[in-house]
Amino acid sequence: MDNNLGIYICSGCDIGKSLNVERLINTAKDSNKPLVCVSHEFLCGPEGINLIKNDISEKKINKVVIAACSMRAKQDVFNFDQFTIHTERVNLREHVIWISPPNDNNTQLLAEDYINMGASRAKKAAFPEPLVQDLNKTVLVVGGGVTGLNASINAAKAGYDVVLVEKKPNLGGFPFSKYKKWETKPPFDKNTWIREGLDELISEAEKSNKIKIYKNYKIKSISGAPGKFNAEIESSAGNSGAEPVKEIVGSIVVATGWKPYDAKKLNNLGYGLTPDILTNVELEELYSQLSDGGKSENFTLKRKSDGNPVKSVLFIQCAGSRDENHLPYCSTVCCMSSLKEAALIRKNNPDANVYIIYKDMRTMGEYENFYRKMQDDEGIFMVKGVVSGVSYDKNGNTIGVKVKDTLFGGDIDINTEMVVLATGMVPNSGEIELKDNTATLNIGEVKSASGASCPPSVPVSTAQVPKSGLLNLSYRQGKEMPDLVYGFPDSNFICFPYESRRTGIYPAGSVRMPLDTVFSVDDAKGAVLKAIQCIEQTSKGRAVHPRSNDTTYPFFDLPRCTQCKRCTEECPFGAIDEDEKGTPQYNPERCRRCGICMGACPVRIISFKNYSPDIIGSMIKSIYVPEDPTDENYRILVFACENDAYPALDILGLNKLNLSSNIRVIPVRCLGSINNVWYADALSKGIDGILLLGCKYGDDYQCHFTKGSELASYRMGNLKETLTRLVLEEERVRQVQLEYTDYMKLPEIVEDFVNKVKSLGPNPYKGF
Amino acid sequence: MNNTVIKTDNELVKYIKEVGESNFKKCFQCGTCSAVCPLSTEDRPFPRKEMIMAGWGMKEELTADLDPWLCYYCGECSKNCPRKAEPGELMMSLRRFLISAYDWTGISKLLYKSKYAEYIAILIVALGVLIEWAVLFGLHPAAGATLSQAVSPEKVDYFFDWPISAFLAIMLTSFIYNMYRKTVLSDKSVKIPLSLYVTEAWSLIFNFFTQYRYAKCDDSEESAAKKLTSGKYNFWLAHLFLMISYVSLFVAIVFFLDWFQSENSMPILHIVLFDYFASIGLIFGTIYFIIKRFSKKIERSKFSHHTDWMFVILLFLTAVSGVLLRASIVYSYSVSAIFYIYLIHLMILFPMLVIEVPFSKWSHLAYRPVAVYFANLKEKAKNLSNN
Repeated sequence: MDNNLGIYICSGCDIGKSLNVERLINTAKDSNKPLVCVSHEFLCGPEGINLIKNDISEKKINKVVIAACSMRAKQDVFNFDQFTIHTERVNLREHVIWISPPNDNNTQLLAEDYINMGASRAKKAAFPEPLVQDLNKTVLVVGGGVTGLNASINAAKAGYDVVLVEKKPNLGGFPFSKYKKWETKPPFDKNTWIREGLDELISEAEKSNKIKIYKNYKIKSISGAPGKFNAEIESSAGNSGAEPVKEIVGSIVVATGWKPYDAKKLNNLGYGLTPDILTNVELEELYSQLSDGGKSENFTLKRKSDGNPVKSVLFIQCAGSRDENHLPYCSTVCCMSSLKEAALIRKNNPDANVYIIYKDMRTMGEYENFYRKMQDDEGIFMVKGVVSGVSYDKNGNTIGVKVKDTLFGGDIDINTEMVVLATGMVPNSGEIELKDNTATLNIGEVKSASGASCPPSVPVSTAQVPKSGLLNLSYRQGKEMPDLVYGFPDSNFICFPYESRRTGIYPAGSVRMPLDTVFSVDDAKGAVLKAIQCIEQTSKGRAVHPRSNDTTYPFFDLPRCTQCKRCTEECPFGAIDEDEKGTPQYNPERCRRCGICMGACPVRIISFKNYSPDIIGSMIKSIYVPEDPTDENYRILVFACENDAYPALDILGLNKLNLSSNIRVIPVRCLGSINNVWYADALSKGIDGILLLGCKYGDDYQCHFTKGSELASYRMGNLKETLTRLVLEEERVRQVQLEYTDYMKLPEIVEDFVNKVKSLGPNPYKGF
Repeated sequence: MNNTVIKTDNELVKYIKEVGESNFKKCFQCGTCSAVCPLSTEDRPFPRKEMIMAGWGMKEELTADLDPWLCYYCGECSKNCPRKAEPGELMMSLRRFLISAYDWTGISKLLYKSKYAEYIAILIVALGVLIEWAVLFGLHPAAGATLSQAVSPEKVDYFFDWPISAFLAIMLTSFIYNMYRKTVLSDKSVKIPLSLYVTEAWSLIFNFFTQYRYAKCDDSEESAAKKLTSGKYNFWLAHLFLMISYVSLFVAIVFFLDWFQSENSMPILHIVLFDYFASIGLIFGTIYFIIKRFSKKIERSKFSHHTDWMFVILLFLTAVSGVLLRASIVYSYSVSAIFYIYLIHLMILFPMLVIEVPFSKWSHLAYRPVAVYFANLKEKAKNLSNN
């Protein structure tokens, strides 16, 4: 491959006024020996672009280094064919002149370093070769409830074939066998039957020639990758003799919904004492029976115990919800369903009083108006309080409920004839496997193929409780989508709803988070769009978000692999399987291109065409480190995550806030892609300190690749031991969790670290 | 200690809804109302407590509650309520509920529930007056008779003034005893020593004649003089003026009817007794409140129940007809003119006294100072037993 390097320095936007462009050109020429090195006062203008284009066609320049503004700006203008031209952006504007004093020697040195770093990267970078394939574009929808039906119908409308698998003999899911739906629009008094709309949806799906429906079927196993999933579908009716059906699909929408929390665990709330203490779902079913499947409106709710009409009902909200011993979360729907049921009771049993004991009444959005309407009913009594005991008086056949912490200013007793426990939603995201009586995967015992024991390469918090029974994936990392908390699939919820950590598999509806049917319909549409996007992008060889349209992917130099399994374990998306020896088997279609595997690899056999240990290493090596230990000669290397930290630095520049000129920033795909060799490269060169700026990690992580910043922090733990061995202070390396909006804090963060490094003194390896 | 077993009563909830315009069911117990109330205390967290008791229809607790009488409806709670639940109006509704709860005859409840019941009741009393008048004095005066001959003051005293005084005294006393029974005797947690009743009697008289708690309705840091000049005391003073005028006229007429029928226009004694002054007070006061109720600008008069209107209008008409009667006597109109004006005056005055005083809005003149007195007694007794 020819390396025809062209360096173009823009002197517009005050760059020419703040820097000595002449000197920049001379240094760039001396250090990088480019074919072309020129400056232009308006590089992004037509004249400037033509200058570059002419050089490309006449001088065969194929490595274009543009020293101008941030790589996040002017992407539409500096847009050359990525498969034949490598474009390297050097950020002289946001990261140099906007944050440093003009016409200062340190500012000049900063700019020179950045140009040299850009040029060294450009020299080593190769051109991406996209993996274009003819892939299957069918969407597999698992679950035929409200979400699943909507997902299928929308996918079909968009022109995609659908395979819909439903475990039960009928479509329609949870609402199918219930009575009334709650109204979603004012004036909240239509009182419509729950099947209204649902039946139309079912028949629309059944009539569609694009939707292939498997009722009474479930997933036996799924293998493969987006665009070529192999799904085995087997009968769920119990006739095990039948052969499973095989379907090849492009992507998967998981709409398996929820199941009610097991009320048997709620004997503290009296469940089981008398048949008159029942759950909200049981009450719904009772109503469904009484109404004869919605055919009759005129009936009276009767007690199960003696058959007399009910005269008082008490609802216990958050029964086993928002409770550390049961479900710690709010299921969002129980308040509305209790209010709806209260309205039904008042309608069918006009003499009945309804008591609702709540922790908080949570009626989302417009539903608040329904709550307000119900408040006005003189027969509905709501009070905040905690139910401290439920007792049953056999003689009077009454139920006594003790409530504490009420707003009456004390504890109260209420006697009632029926108690309804408003239990929450548990996602149907697979069942926990209880093999060998252990529910946790022990990651500490991973051995390399050579038999030598490796230190645990994955932080324990990423350990997944193994589950199965839903998708039964043949992935090395487990059979189901990894959980975030409480059994809901893991995803970066803020930036990427519908995502799971399995590319091409999109949970929607209440398996993703507790939702009602209205929100589930929206969810279905969102997930289907994601599924379609995935199929289309993958077949063009492009990444799905967050690196949308990226055509590079990691290359594994397998002959040098030591089978340490770090990449197969640490990939947050389960993209890498392994053979029986432990050799990684990479699936490019599942890959999000974050480079976490590259950061994990101790022998550095994983690399991208334009991003590798060697390329970044050469960038580090091109930094000029003065030996004279004065204050301005300290050099701090900053690895900045491209997703949040790098934009934060840009915004800092936009606000013209000053930042220390001691720092040299290298953007990385994710902090998780930092290979430990780069620390060695930097420290052995005499760099005095290394600062990692990346996303927040932990339970409410912001990492776009879910685990990257956490892994970086974990690996740094191992690194610190090495530093101590080299008689280097471990404080020379620091990781800071940063959000995009935290740009104001950057000067302080950097200043603080620079001062810390200065207090440690210069790197003793300087000049070696 | 046993928990309170809550008994809810949705008929009561309905009744409270009917006798006012509070959306008390909308309350979600944030407590803003009690926090902004200048009169509410930690021990008496009204109106928050009343909001939930009313919402749940807790009849026993509500009947035993004195706090509605301690509220003077400054309206801060209603202004600040995040749910527009109108706590101030609830306290007003609860006063109406309490008036009907103390009244063992059940008439109050009827009057509050239906405005037609009130119209009919007033008409019946007015007709009764007409019949009684016809029996006593005939339907027109005898030719050539003087006023004293045509309408004998003694007969008015014997057959109108004194019976009505006795009726009102009996009714109000029995209702107040009922109130005492429900609010003080029923409360087993405090025992009030007899001596306290005597030593605290001053608070009853003081509150009756000053309505001092009205002034506390504004708890801004300004000086009293500033509040006075900026009109913050206007409502209180107008209310006090009206009440003093009413009481002095009532006393004067019961004991000095003779003079009212004489042509002596400038007796020093009666000026001292505020008779003229009181008449001005009544007319000015009622016009002031009618304007306020029409304009609906302040919280206190935003909502007007039919009994509120009936009260001010009857009072106004009584005062106007009374002044007209007195003028016709002083300026020596013909006896027959005075005879008819006299009759009309009584046909307005008596419905007001018989219907409004014991069974409707007027009764707050008695209940309020008594409630303050009872509340004081209970508080003092609690402090005594604690020490």
